Amino acid sequence: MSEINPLENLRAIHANLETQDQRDRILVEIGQCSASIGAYKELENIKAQYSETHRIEVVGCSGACFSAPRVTGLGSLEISSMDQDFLDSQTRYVLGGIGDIAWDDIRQYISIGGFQGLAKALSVTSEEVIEIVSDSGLRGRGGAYFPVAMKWRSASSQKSDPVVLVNAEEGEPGLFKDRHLIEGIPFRVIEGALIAAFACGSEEVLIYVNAEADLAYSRLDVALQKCQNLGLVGKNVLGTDFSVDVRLFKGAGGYVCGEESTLINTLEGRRREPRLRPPFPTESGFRNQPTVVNNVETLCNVPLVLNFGPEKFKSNGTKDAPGTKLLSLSGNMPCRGLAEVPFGITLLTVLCDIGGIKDVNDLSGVAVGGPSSGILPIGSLDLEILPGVIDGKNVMLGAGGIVALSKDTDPYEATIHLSKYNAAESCGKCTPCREGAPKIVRILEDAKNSTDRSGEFKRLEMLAKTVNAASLCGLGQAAGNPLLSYLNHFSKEQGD
Amino acid sequence: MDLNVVSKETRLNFRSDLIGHFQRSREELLPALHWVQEEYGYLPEWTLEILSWHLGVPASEVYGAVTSYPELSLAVPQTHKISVCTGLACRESGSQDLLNKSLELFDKDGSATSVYEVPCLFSCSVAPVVLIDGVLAGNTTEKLITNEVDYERD
Ligand SMILES: Cc1cc2nc3c(=O)[nH]c(=O)nc-3n(C[C@H](O)[C@H](O)[C@H](O)COP(=O)(O)O)c2cc1C
Ligand code: SF4
Ligand code: FES
Repeated sequence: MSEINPLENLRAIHANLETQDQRDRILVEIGQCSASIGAYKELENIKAQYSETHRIEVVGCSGACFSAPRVTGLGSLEISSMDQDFLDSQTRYVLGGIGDIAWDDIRQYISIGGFQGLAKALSVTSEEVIEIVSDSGLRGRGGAYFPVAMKWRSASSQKSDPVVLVNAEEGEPGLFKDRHLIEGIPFRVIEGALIAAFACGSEEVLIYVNAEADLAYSRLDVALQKCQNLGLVGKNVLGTDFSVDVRLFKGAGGYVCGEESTLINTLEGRRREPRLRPPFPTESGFRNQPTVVNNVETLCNVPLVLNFGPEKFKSNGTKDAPGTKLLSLSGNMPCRGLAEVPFGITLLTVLCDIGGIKDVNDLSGVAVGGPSSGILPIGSLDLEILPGVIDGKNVMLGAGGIVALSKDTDPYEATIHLSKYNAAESCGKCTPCREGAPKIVRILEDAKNSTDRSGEFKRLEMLAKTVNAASLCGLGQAAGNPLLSYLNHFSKEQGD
Repeated sequence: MDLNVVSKETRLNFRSDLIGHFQRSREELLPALHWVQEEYGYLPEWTLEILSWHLGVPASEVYGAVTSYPELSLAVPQTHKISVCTGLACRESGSQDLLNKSLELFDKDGSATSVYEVPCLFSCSVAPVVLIDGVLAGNTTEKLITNEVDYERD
């Protein structure tokens, strides 16, 4: 038998896909965000005017949602300096290609290096792939920052065959990064999952997509079929003896669904609630098989690490926190959208240089990390974007949701809002979260107008710490954080 | 549960549809529920009983699952549905006014529209966002919501 060369096979696929259309391109950015403000109408307009003379392509949203619906490639339409600043202030690594290549064009994806990470992975052993990922220091981007290689190694060392689950639930308020990745570059998500499967010795990948993310689901579906048709998914991928089955699965709603053991219950047709640990999913998860659950953003880093090497990955970020992070920027700022930054950059730089905020004194605070985290006062904006806790207490970066709050927003009200969310999303399985989370809300609301809240705050602090310590899953274990963050950062300033 | 709310023929047809689409496996529960909800707009009780036979999942557990997922519904839906996001980002852009306006317009006897408050529609960058009959609308204004009143008249 002659030597199998996956890279050669990929080149052959690419060569077969050559296009004859040499006309200038016009790119219309369409994502869930821009579709909601008329991007499809814009596409029709462009088609009516230019379809004779230009190649019109639908690309994903570049992240500059604030100026959507965006059209680029037309010389006459200058890109605004605001858009340019927004894009230029970022370090675009996983976002690379989004907004530039047609979301469904596998040829363009291969041209920018797509599937070369997979081909390179298939040219070495599974253990070597894990070694390369380990060398990069890549950690999970779903919020918990668990080392990716460690998770893969644990699953691959079990007796039975592992399953890879792609967590595309993204059910945490304030986030829209995974949707952008899937809608903009679905092939990268698939490629990352394939490499994960190969590295773990798995032949089965399930992609779990949020029930409401219709556009993401349908684009993944199209991309997956294209991969199957070209032999990138299925039997003997790129001519090697690696075979893998990839399926999409539609979720059914709620924050806790994104928690990995809940996600496994959902896939198995069980109630929407977390499982007790141990066993950990990597030991026994879906169908009692070893199960690797990874976030979409995590997996999108993987093909780039394989193709361009761990050193390139580590050239961004800090020594302890290499790489970049996607931030979902929203709230009271001019440039609301999705941005990618290197770890170690300060929150202030993000808000001003990328978010376009002129004067942070116009804010009352910034909510970082969603309802499992808390609100920072403007005096703390010199803190750095890093994995885990960023204020030394209860504010965590989480999956990177950042909401700027205007002066009119009372951080106390916002704290109630976040606490209420946690109480409403509690699945009810364990008592501390089911009973404690609503109680935090009741006490906060009752104390809203009282002049001396010190007594209530003492009780609240104890309650929140108990809920955090005694709850079963990550939702309850962080349900006290908005309140604790308020006490840490705001209560003294306001004389309580 | 009374299965006679629909004819025997309807039930048999439903069963053979199920057999055509889904294997007898618990893992097919969610996909099957999504499929039923797509067909009927909600999950009629009689379908759950048949689903339980076909998939071999006890009816009580089918119920348990159904009632734990917010996306699944046992109730006949209103003709129109408007969900107003009141998440942190949307609040910053005036979603409370949109919610009040929606309630004022639609939350009354004889209205064919039901109003919901939801915690995020995951398009916070184009806040405020509402979902009208399954279609997302970003940068929403009160005017857009008022214009929706038109469909109340037909
Ligand atoms: C309440 C809760 C919600 C979560 N939601 C998500 C989610 O929507 N997407 C996600 O990738 N991870 C979510 N996670 C984290 C997952 O449990 C899991 O850690 C993650 O998917 C692992 O992927 P990673 O290591 O690649 O980050 C959630 C965790 C908790 C406790
Ligand atoms: S902590 Fe809350 S969400 Fe998690 S299992 Fe307990 S009740 Fe359910
Ligand atoms: S807060 Fe309204 S869409 Fe996210």
